[in-house]
Amino acid sequence: MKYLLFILFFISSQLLYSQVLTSNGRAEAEVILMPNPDLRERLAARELLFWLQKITKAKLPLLALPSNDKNRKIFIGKKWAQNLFPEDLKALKGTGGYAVREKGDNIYIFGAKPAGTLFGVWKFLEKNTDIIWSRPNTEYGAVFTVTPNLTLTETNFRHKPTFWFRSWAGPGGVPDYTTNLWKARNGGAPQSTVRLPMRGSHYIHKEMGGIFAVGGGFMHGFLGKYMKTRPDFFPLIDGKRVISRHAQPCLSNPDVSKTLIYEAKKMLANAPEETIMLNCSNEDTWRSCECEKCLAPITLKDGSKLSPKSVTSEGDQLFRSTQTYMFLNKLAENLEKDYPGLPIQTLTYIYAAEPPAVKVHPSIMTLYCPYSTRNIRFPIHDATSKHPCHNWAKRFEEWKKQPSILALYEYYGLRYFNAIAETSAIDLRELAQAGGVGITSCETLQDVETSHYGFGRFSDFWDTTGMELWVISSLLWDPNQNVADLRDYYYKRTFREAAPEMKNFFAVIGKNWHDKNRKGVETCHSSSSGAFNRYIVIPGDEKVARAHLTSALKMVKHPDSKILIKRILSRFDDLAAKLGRLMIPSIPEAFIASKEFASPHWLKALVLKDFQLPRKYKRPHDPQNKTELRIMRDDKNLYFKIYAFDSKPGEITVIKKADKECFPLGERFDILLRNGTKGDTYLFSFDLNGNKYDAKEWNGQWNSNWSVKGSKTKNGWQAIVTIPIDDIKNKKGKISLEGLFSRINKHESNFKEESTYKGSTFSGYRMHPLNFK
Amino acid sequence: MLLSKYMRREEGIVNMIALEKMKYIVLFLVLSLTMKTIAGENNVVFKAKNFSDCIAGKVPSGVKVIETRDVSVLSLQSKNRINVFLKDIPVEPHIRYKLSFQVKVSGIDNKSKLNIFDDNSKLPSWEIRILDSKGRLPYEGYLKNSWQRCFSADWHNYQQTFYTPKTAAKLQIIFSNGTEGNSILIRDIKVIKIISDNILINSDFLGAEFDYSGWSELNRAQLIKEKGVTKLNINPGGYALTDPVPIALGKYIFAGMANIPEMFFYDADMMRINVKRIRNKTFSTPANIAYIQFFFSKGKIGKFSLKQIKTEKK
Repeated sequence: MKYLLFILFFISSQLLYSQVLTSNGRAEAEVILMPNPDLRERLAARELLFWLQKITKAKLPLLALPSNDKNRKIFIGKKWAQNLFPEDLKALKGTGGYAVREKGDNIYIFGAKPAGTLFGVWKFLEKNTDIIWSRPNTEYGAVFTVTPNLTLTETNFRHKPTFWFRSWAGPGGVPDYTTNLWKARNGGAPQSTVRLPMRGSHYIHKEMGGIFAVGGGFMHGFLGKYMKTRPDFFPLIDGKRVISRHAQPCLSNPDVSKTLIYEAKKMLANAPEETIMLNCSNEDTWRSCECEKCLAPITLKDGSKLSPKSVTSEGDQLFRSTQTYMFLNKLAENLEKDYPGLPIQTLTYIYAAEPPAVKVHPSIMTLYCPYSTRNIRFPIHDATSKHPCHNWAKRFEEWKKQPSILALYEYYGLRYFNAIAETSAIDLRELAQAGGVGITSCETLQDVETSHYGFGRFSDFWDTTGMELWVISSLLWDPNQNVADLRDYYYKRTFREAAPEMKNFFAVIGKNWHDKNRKGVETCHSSSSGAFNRYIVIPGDEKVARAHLTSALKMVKHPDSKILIKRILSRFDDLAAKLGRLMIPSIPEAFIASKEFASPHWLKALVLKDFQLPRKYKRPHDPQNKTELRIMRDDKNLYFKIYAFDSKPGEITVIKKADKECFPLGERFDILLRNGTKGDTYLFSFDLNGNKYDAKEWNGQWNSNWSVKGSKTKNGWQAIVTIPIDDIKNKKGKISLEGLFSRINKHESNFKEESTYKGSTFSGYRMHPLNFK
Repeated sequence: MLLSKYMRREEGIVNMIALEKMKYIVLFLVLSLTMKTIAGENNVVFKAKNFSDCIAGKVPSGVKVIETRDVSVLSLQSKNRINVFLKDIPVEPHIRYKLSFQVKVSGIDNKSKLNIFDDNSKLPSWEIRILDSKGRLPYEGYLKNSWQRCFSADWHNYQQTFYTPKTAAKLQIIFSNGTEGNSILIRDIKVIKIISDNILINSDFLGAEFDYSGWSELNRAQLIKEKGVTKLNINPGGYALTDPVPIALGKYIFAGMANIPEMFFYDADMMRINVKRIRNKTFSTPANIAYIQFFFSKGKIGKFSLKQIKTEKK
């Protein structure tokens, strides 16, 4: 019995030992990479070593041939596997999939394509450690536990992606190395449309498993260079040829078609190795040619005629779409012989999103783009739309029936808190069922701390949408995965000890986002603070959502998880602040303070100092003279104390104190209040002499029982205003205030300057919500 | 210096003819000394005088050493592939070496047909293995490229320049006769240490014909001769990458060509730190730099160099 136990112990310890990769931060394994490997296999080996060193603190050697050491050997790449695992390679053929296999003491990581090996290495790391690449940032984006004793747990698996087209696109001109690596580490294969000559960025793109296309828009990619020589290539609009790249070509001109085919062939002949697509899309404009031939009725296959109902593409999308796809069909037929099966990718966008009245060539890859009127909260098949004629569900159904290759062109780059992954899962499942090949999603911003293109700080995007992109990346490999499970995995690995609270936080957003009864049409252009308001504040979940974040912050121990939660909380607070709400404190002594400028109770009031010139073109934002406003309240009144600084107080011009109500035409201060977004507007204008004017809905006949007390000071003037709350309540007796505060600084010398809190303007009524604490 | 001393001492005694002769003698002595340094006579780390002493282990069948009074020649003759390993040569890490030798191939002359992009595995070839102190072959130490082929029926010079990896301890040189029953003769094998201000390899294209040393990746790119000058021609859609070469933190000057390359910077583990396009000819390397690589993608690449700008200590 003793012997039997000993033997069992020996066998089990040997089995366990054989799974050991590192012990006490010392390497018990080596990695082997053939000389002159494919660049993707080389990156695979380097990534494996890099992350193993980070996780285990052990430096595994990278060898060209296996050593004689009795250790575990990890072989990277297809060449090592081709004689050992032919079945795997057969199953993976033509895909970017991967297999990890164990044979004896050896591990083999490989794909039928080199990119497969790369994806395999990252999955191997994920399955055998607790790492997650939660966002691109190099300092805290990858979360893992340092594990000096690493034992392998999963060494036999194979996976191939449902979609080969797994593209994420970010805006150009911003450093994107780490963001592109994030996309790749999570299984993405972004598309790069190469304009020759190749650049280092193209090489790196390929190294990360990205795919190549050549071409571009009709004008930008092919015909724009004929601007000076062939004006007839350009559209005739309102009787004139519009010589611009930002226009659709004159599609009825036979030379346009011939030239485009010639240019396309030239591009393909010089295309970099492994170019898998020609991109040929309509330009991002509705401007289409109105020449006689372009507006001639189109004869369809059944002999019927399709006549334009309008000269513009906006007026007849079907006509223009049919015209475009007939043009593209001709290109496809011409390339078929020399480049059989080469997808010709085109943007099924704006009017070209309308399914045409002709069959689209099977080589044409239509990127169906429900831009930008689709409500992205809901799947395509039940998405509501801002535009009455954009029936995205019906269009999608019709595109599914076309013989062309189907893919989606999405805008998942949402810069606000959202729960897009569930929506995406439904769309992707539908796409897979229809034989679609995948998606490209644009505006996935780079994880950098700088602001570009008016999008604000790019890294903010990852605070709100990082998890969604991670989940969708995983869905692109298998859209039938359960989104809730993927989210749980993300919470656990990214937020560690705080996972339950972070789950609760995102559940709040998900609940409101997916609530069909909740109003809100969201697109990639929705404002971040607006969406925050619609799905967190208006449903009344702000406090509870924030409490989940603060609680998560208390629970979390992992330093990187802590940073990630802190960032989300900070983004949450930023968005809350962007709503411009002002919290007015309730001070029981406020009434006493209203009698006295120097009362210390004013120190407890809300202080607004940021008075700026209203935002107008080419004007500096700082006013010449500063203003400070303090607000507080009690149960009965709102109290305002204004301190209007002036460097030349002697020059202030102000009208004499009138006996009755009169509009203070000189130096003055205006308080504009509104009870609810669509409620009544109240104006209170006054000056330092105590002249005052009030109006409700601009009706000066209305009078409030308000008071003003003003005085001149050494460096300006001051006033205390008391407004009874009852006077500004709505019919139901409720109060939900917004305010706008403006000072008109006027001197005898014709100097006049208006400054408002935060530079808000009366025109457009961008008012600040006033909340009662 | 010597010449001036001599002149002072012997002034008035030596006639002008003798002085002229002396000038030439001194000049010859100085030149030969300099040449020795440049050619690396002092830097020779290996020279195969007698192949009988150079072959590692048992001499494989089909391999003969032909000794004459002047030269020692290694002969590989077999219907099958034979690999001959020379004895290990001690080397230092991160040092530039040049291997050179002559080969004559019987029954083949594919010189005009040689294309580095073809599968040339049937041709006679050589490879270099740079082992670490534990006898392991690191990935960076295995130099086996498609252009390392022997193709000429006449005696032909071959050479390869390379940096040793950071773990380098010893060098192995392996010759193979290929798989088509070729017989080959090898002579004049030499390994020298190269010291140069230009930290790049073969960026002057002055090496032997078909010497692609220093270029780790070529895609639709190859060496061409234009008016007697060797250049690297990159066809549309192609690119060329130099070897990643060791580099220290500092200021450098890139010189010699109009085509602007991009630079890939790597850390000690060959993880990419940054990518930069050369805008100014002088630049500073970023923190944590350990290797640099140049990426070219356009036109004909002529001679260029990369040198460190040494700042004098005050």
